[in-house]
Amino acid sequence: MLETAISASVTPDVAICATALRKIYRYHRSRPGLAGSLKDLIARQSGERVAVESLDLTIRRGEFVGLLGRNGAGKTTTLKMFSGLLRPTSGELRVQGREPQRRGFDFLRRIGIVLGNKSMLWWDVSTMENLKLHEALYDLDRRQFDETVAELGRLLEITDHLDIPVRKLSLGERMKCELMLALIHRPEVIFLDEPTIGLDVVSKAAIRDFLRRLNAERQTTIILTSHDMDDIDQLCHRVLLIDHGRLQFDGSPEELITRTSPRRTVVATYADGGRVVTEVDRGAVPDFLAQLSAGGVLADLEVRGADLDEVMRRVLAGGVR
Amino acid sequence: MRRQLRYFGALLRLNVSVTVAYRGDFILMQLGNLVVPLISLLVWQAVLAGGAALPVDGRYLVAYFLLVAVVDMLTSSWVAFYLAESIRDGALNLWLVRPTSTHVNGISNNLGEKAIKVLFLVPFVAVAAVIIAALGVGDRFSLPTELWRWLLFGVAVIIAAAIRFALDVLIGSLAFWFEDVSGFLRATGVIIPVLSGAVVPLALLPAGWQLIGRIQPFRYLVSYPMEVLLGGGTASAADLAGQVGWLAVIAGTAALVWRLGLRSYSAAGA
Repeated sequence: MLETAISASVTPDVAICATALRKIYRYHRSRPGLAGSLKDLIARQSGERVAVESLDLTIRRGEFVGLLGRNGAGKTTTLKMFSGLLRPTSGELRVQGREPQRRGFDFLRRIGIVLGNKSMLWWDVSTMENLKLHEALYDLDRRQFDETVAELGRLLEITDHLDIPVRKLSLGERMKCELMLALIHRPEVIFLDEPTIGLDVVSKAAIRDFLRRLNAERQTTIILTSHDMDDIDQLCHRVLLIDHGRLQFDGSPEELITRTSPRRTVVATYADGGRVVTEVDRGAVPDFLAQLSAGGVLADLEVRGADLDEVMRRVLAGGVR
Repeated sequence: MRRQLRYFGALLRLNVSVTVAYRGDFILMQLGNLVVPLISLLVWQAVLAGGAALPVDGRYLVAYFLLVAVVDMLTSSWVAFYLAESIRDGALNLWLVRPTSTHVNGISNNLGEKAIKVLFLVPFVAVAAVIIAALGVGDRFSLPTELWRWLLFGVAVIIAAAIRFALDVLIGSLAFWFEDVSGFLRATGVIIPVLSGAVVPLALLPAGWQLIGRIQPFRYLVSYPMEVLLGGGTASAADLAGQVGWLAVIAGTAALVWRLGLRSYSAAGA
């Protein structure tokens, strides 16, 4: 009843809405050595760590969002709160109009999750057996189930592998099957945590193609965390950079690059062998190029902007300004 | 509920087929389960032959030690270790993001494996019974013929299995607060077989221990169903109420501890 009331009060095109979201972990300190262990036994010291300080954000339905940040910055904690795995310490959170922490069927059937380093599949049986389990779990209609299997199998080019025991599949094939399992109930929001980790370039390209189509054709909201900046660069229309538990940047990948790396590197090689290498503000590049061509006959000219990898290295070293 | 039952049925079928795939392991496991009771039987028969005054006769001992392997297997649970591991390494996350419970999987795994194990174990017990009879160990034993005894025995075994499973969930849930629960697992691995009657019939406990043996909850796991079937011991109608009462207490505590644990769960790993 409460969930219905909440969902009715949420704007229909909002997929995720977080207000002053905060998560504090409580943990026990362990002192070193035998004496420390004995002291811990008598008086355990506990501490608190703020994983997410205060997060305010809105993600609209159909957005493809990249969640970026260094290890321990709070992005995985954020993803876990979004998917209902963790209870926020305080603040408000709605995903598809529901409170994730309640983990109600109405919420869980609307989300899908793929964890690159943890398998959702039973390894002793085939992918098809796994899919049939989820058919029962989500109470799917048989015809709809068959259609979705056929469609996902075709898009992921995995139809021929559905009857093979999961443990016999290659990593790339298994990741496609993981995606298929996570999508069989047609979730409205999917959370992807490092979906291309360990994959070769061909498999990565296939997975990215599929995700792009899924987002475009089904309007599925996709939240992606990845340390592979190519994933983010090629797929996400919007990136959220989280550091020290706070949202440090919210915008397109291009804006992030422009904001953190406003200068471009210009390398000019003259016909007489002379070479100029310098950094120029983005806005000043056209004037600078005009000056260069006035200085002699150019044999080669290269204007290089920072890519997302460089940007992230810079951002993680010093933060966004 | 209908959806969970449909899922449970699918999981059960899957567990049975996976267990069948590993049948070699399970056959050896069941053979191993029978060895300890048979050795115990030989030891107690020797004690009896030595002139010791025991509260039970040779026929009872043969029946008890032959059947205890089956009852112990049917009422056993192994979920505590896996549950604790999944809490510690974050594998529980995979269940928390699905509209079901890890315990639905635990129960289906428990029942699926037992369905196959019993198929292997019962023939072993039958062969052991024939060999024991042929060797003339103890007196000839016969199984009870009263239907009510078998029905009550079946009910007692089901309740015992439920108590054991709930107890395992309770022990496994401690991993929400303790980094390592292997100490608890080891302790219960020693205490439960002794106090449940799986190692020695509780009727053979020293006189001073009889009352403790009777009122403690572990008796209801193995000894009580055996007492119902074989007629020895002190089983009474009030004991069935006692068994149901312990189920309510242990399952209720397990449910409460599980809920509290989930609140403090930090979902380790991805």
